[in-house]
Amino acid sequence: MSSQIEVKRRDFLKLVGTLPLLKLAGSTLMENVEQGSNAPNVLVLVFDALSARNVSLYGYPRVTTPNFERLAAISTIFHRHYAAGSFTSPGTASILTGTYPWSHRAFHLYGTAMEGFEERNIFHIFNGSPYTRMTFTHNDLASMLLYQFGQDVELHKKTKELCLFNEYLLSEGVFEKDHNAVFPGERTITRGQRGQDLQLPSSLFLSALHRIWRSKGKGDILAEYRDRFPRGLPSTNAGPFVYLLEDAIDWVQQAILTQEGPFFAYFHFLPPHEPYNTRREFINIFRDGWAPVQKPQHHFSEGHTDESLNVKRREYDEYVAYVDAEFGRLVDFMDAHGMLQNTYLILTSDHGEMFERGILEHITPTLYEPITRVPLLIHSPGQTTRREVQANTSCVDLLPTICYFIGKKAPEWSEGQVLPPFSESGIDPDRSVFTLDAKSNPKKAPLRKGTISMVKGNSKLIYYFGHDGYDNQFELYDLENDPEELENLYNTNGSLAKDLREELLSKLQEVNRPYLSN
Amino acid sequence: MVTYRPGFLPWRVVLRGLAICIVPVHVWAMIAVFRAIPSWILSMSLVEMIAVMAYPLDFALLESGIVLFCLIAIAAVLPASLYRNQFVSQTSLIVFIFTAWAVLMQFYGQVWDLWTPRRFLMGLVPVVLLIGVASAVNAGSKIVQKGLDALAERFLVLALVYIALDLFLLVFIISRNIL
Repeated sequence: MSSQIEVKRRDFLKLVGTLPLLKLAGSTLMENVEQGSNAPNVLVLVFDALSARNVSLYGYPRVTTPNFERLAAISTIFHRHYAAGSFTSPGTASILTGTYPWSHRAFHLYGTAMEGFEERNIFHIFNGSPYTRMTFTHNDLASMLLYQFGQDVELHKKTKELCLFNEYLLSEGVFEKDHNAVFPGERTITRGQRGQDLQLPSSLFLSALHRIWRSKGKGDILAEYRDRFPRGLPSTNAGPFVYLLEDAIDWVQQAILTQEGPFFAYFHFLPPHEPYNTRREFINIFRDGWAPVQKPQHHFSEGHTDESLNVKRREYDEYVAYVDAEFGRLVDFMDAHGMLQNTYLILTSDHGEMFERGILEHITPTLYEPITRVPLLIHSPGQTTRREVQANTSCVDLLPTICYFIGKKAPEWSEGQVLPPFSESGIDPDRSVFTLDAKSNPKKAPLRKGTISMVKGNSKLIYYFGHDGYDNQFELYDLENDPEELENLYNTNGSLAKDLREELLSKLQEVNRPYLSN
Repeated sequence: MVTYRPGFLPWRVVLRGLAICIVPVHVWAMIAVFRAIPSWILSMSLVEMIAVMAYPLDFALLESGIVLFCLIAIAAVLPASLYRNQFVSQTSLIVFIFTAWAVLMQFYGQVWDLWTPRRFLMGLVPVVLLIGVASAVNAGSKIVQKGLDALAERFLVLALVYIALDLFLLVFIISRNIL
């Protein structure tokens, strides 16, 4: 098996040459952090549902992300970076806790992490440092986690404050302290439980008035912005929030500019998550006739045709271009104010998006590359050259890496590693990175139904277990020679399949052990 | 026929009116909450589930109070012979008809495209007409009035159970938001 680390030779030599300096810089960094002077800022920008497969920086034929590419010229680009979950709750919780979903257990819609993670998360590690911690999200699932970990955050910008329309009246208002109970409660009152075919609000009479109020309120705002957003405004999935990404970026600019000391900021923007309501100038920019590789329908196909998926893909790509433009605006602002000289700027996503095999978006038991592989760019303070990392990395690596940035030792409970090239020892070439879908399992019970993907070297094993009519199924792909995951090698590559299967099943057994009764 | 002094509703009558409002509103809230419980069970502990449940159920108490307040306000405005003199039976009719309409709206409001202010108000016209007809029947029939009064009396017991539950959950909500 070939090594997973393919840092360019010239960069490697540069790195080796600067090791003693790095060590010196590390100790100086720690002193700076302790004193609060010149400590670098850390800015994490998460764009929801942004698949690396649709990002031109990673070779996508449509030029969706020219501004990412611009920043990439002075950043480290991770080519094989994986989300740990297939939707917001598990993916975000893994970023924030540096652990896989089988550890934090936030693998349900609106899920939160297990008790104890209030002190095991990315915000808590800044305790005792001079950093100001800031958060914001448009995403109501991510919001559950930010409220759970909010005790360590100095500035939590409420979602409703950056919305054009917000239909939630209680959860970010008088009952904010109990947000994670009042939020699903309020949703039950006004809309009914999400995910059901027929959502019945628990309020018999007033929910009707609420519905008319929100329909009218949103309708008026949509009419006001129709010229700029003919497809509709960016909104959350079922539409409780209507917002402009521009407003959030404007606020971020002011928030980071006005900080007097160093800051750690986690900003989680919903675009390019569905609905793909891009700005006018990006509509139809990808009517180019290009079509992706056709793939067979999967067992978990939702019945979408290739034609309809290609239309959705095009709209998504046009929405990604809008995200990229706003990101570029923020980078330009930071550059103009000299902030790229003292800020670690991290760009990533919580999970990807899928337009193939009859499946649309990301709420699916499948874990193909469009869903699991997400972008990761890290611009280090003052970095002026581009670095490439080909090793398999995971979103659980971000927390240890941020610890490194602020001169702290990575906590032992984190399942990640300091990312190359920041780690002096490099990354374990034999490591496996995982993505898990386990939303059908109870929070505190062994995982009996779900999907796990394990990437090791160039190989990717996907294991489906407990699904009706699709139990104990394996798929094995060679990502180097078959990046589209078309040829399942599980039955033809016996010894590799056996080794990977044993490792994956052993891991599953290990993570289930704490929940097995005697 | 039970008659009341103008401008005044005895508390026993108001309580029965409240019971008439509380029961359908809470039964519906319970149905909605129990539909959601299977998904909550996977991800929440018992305490977390009770906390989430507390909001819709306490909101149901608030909603019942608002409905009753509106009906008392209407009773105060209308001539006593039209409403106040048969407050319990008239309230029962209005609440039951509106409940039936609200349930239909929850299921078919989208299908019938009634969620715009204009269409919503148009949809209310037949409901108001039906209430008018039912009220006329009620005014002329002591049997109907007695039957509805008796029903309200029985609802009172159930309503007290709901109120006790709501008050317990209210304490739970307050403690979670203060502590």
